[in-house]
Amino acid sequence: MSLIEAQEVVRTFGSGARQVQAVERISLSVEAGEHVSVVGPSGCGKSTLLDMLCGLDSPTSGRVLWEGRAGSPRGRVAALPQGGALLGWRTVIDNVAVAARIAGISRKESRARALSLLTEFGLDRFANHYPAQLSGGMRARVAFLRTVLAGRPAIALDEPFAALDALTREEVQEWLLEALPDQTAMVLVTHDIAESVLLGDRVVVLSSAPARIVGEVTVPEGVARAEDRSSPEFVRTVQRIRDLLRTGRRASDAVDSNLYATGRSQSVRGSQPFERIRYERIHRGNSRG
Amino acid sequence: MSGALRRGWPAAVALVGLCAIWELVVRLSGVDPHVLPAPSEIALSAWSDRASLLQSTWTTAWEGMAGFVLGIAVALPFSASVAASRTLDRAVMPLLIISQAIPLIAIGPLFLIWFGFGSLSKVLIVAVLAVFPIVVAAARGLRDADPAQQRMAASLGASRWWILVHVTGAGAAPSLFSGIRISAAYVLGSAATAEYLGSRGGLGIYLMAAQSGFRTDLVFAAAAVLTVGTLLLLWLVGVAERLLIPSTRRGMTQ
Repeated sequence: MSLIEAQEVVRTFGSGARQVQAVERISLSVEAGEHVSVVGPSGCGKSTLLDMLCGLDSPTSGRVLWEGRAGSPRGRVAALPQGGALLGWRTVIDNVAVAARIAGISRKESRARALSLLTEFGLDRFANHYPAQLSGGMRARVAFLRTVLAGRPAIALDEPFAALDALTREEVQEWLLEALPDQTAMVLVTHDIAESVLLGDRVVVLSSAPARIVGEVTVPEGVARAEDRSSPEFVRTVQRIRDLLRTGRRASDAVDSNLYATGRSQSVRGSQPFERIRYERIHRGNSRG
Repeated sequence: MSGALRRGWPAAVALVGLCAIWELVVRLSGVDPHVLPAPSEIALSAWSDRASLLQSTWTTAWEGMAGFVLGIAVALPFSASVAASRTLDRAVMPLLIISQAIPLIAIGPLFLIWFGFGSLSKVLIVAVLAVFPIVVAAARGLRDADPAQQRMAASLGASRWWILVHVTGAGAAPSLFSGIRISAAYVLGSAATAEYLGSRGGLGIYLMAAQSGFRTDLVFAAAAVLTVGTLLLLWLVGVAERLLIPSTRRGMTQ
């Protein structure tokens, strides 16, 4: 029985002529302790899919099961959204302690747990810093430790390192392999192919919007969760995923040309606080051909 | 403290200099003190009338502070609901704007008729005028909250209330304070004006009595008390802000 199972989930935004489909019939399962990477072009609907796997958004049709049972996985999959979502007014230690505080554990006990985790990873000297005082790589590490300390059976990462420079990104990726507990399942959404191979046991490739599965690649033994980026196996796996991505791109090119963005950025934010995807701003144009 | 001294001394010197010039001009020109009294005369008159001045100040300060606190208490849930629901925003904001568009001179008599000449009508007038800037600023702060932070907390099983208090609310605190600061600047002035329209005591009545008795020196004294009181209130708001919001947040970009 899978830990998380998405069955033919579809997600559309808006209605009538302005309706836009973000996710098109995706079935996907994640086993306990398994690391699944999801790659796809920017804006393809990856984040929407991830929200549904976390129980933060409900599919328009289809369903998401947790341990085989229907019902929201909300509260069981710790999400690490793009940018890290650190709370700027809390120090590092209070950011890492957030999950324990939400669970109702006392401030003192939560901070003690956070501090021991920070110490384990050599970050204790930053315990009383505010996020704005940290480097990008350090912020990513802190956000990840917060997600780990939540102690949930699964974590969901949405482009966790997109804002980092190439060298820092590689460092943090390698650090993450060490930091992630073996028994924790992980869903990683990314557009970085190397990252998906490096951190995943299995890579699911999505098409351009609306997202559907183009193919799936199992990362070979010895490459998965290893740090070697130059082995022939690694390079071959990356190549296979790149080919699949190209296929997915070509198939939806015709749709892409009919999509264009309009609207103001302001109007969307307040009303739908849980939606990062800007589909509401995309309208289908009057196609002439 | 030395920092405040370093930043504050030019203003202090300018103020003292202005008073000195004022004093000199009045003394040398021999202008009628009913038109323009010298600062020294104002200070002396204020001191000899201190019992009455202090009692009026107390009344106005009490009414102003009660109205201010009531205004903040009403504005907080208002901001949260307005930020949470677009429909509510569209329903409530025009009403709030109307409440601001009605001038004090018109709303004052109404409140006097409804709530009498006692303190209650003043407290309510101050509260009505204080609500709007706070709601506008706080609601904007709540709406500008980072959705990623809410998603993070929600995925960990946080309740809507927890997210409102610890994520969106805490994030909106600087905006809330900017609204509170705007309101604070008008609190004592509104209270005194409301008293002027009809009251049993307070600086508004004190001003009215001073004016009808041609006591220009006491008009200046009451004006000075209102000014100093307002500066004191703004300072208190600043202190509260510094206590509640870590310094690294101010000027933080990401």
